[in-house]
Amino acid sequence: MERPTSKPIGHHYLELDTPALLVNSKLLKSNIENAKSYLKDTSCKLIPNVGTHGAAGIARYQTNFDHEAPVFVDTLQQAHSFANNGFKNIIIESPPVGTGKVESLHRLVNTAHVTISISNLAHLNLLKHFSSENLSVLFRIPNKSDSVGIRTHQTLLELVKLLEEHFEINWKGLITVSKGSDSLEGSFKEILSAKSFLQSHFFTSNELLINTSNQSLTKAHANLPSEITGLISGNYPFEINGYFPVCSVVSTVMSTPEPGRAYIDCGQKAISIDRGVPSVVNYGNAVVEKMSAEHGYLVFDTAEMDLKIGDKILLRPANYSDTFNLYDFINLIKNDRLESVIETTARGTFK
Amino acid sequence: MQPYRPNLGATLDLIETPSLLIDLELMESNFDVISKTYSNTLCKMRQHAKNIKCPDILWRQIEIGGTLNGVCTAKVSEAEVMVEGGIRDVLITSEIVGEDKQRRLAYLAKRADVKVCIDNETNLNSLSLIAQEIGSEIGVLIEVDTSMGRAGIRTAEQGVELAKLAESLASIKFLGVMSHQTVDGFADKETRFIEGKRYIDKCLAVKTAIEDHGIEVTIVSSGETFSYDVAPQIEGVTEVEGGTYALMSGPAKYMEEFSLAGKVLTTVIDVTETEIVIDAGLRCLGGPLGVTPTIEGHDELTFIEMHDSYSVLSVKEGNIFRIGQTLFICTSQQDILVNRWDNFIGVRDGVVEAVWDISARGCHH
Repeated sequence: MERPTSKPIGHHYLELDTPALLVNSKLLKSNIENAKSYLKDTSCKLIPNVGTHGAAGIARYQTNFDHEAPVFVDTLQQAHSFANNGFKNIIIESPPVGTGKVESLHRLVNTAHVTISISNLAHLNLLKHFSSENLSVLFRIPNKSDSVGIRTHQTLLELVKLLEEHFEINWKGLITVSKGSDSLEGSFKEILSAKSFLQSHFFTSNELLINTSNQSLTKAHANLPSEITGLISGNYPFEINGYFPVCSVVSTVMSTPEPGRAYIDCGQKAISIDRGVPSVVNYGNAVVEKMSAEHGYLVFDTAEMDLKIGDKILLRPANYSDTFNLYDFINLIKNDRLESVIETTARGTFK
Repeated sequence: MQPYRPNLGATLDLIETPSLLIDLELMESNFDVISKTYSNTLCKMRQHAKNIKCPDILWRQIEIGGTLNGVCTAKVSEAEVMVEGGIRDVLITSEIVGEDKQRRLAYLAKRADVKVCIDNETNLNSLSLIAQEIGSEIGVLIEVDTSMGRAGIRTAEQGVELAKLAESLASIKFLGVMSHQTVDGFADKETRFIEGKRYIDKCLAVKTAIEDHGIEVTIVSSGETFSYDVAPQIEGVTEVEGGTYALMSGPAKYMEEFSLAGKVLTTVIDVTETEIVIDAGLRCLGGPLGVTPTIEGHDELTFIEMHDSYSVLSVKEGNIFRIGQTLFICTSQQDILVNRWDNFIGVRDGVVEAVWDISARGCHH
């Protein structure tokens, strides 16, 4: 695991051992409150995708320390991690397919209320030996931005009937995944149409959830159709809020081998480039040219600026989720000082 | 949360997915190639721990042979893990900057033979001051940029000046020169030899220049997996820093003597007429700037979407896959991937033989 030289609370963030993952706690809390305010006049609740960061410490802020509030995760193992940290109402994206996963789900429903997203008969059949008020199912509906889910209304109807008549678990409703920034409206259409179809056959879907985890959450989300009961979002605590990013990685210049080039101690193992190269925050003129596994390479115009060995570089990740996945510790920063260090308790829970 | 560990003796169908597996037979075959290549050479392999991050596995290569009984690491925290794992000779192939890290390095040098790369006077001077304060001696090698445009001195003259300074400083022991190289794309053997020699010769030119000033150069650490067989044929090279060869990865497949030993076991969780969904996504596989992995034995499958915890693959012709079926993912970026996992599951003939903690996982510092 990470082995930084630890620093006492109160140290300036530029004095931390680098590379270090920083989260500005004031901006984090401000973003969380803003996001809640967007939906406050609607009947739609905000469900945090806590798998984005994997940190129970951040999830508690998102749920206002209410462990009965629903949280969304990607995997069963993540769900176990959050359940171990007291969360009692967990929605899981992945169906329990694969060795050991049904047994794992059995253990989980003994400690939390679990809702699982499924998309076919094979998934439903995995749940046939469950008899628990603690287990609910959401049927996943595909849309123009997401191909995964139950393809036809007829199949959906058959699955709902089967579940209602032969299973001893709850049917909670429908879920769809909205990918890409311009696809939200397209996502509504399919899930609303599926709901209407079921209603015409006298089945009422209590919950209609939209997962927008990789999109920005904006005021526009307040205009969701009133039938939508829940909006799952992952990025909102970390969205840009002013000049400094909420989430960043601080690194150190290790070498300046040529004018206009600097070599830093943060590479792909400390900031992911899976979905894009990070941007430099505190030296506007410098850009990340490339990143190796261990190091990064900055280029800049020497007429405008210079960098020397030991200078600190603040990087904003292209994707927050990918970067949290690389760290065991998150340094919460307030007024430029280390406020506390929290763990990414669900890091590495891929199963 | 405690990482998942299957029972020893478990068969593949009992392993939860996704899991990072090592085919032990193939890894040992890769280690044998190294052992044979370096059995009668002065030059030896110094395995790069950044790719494996697990002292137990690095020890296996040392036992099989061909190495100088030491490893290299990219970071000082990684070097600490190696020393704690009983490896007494470690070369850190990066510059170590900042008082925190230099102090850790100086203390580590009291416990083991630890050497580090340098490319500038500022860094060297501060290393000397800290090592003096702590009462240790740090071995240094000058990094020479031969092709990659990264860190490292650019001219032989810079190397000579730095070597002179190193010789003059207390608590610093000047040892030699070091360089990294790379070759683009799928290189044939002739290209590997021509390019490898060209780069290594640049490093040797710095060695010669330093020796011309009466300074002894005892280590020339150069060459990587792609030039593992080039470097020992070049007089003056004392060690090669190979890492990828142990487990291998897709982009290095042109090195046909090595086999892909590290793979991710995944399960098909959904199937449509034209697509399958597997339970491994970007978090466990990585996919730098869109580079995607492949599925072993299934050229008809192509990754079309990688999400946090799952991936969608298209199927070229009639979809014969079924929910619950397991597949092996061949990695596109081995050391990036290894760094995301907590353990390796060692499998021989389809049975779990060992589970090793990846104890230097996350050692960025």
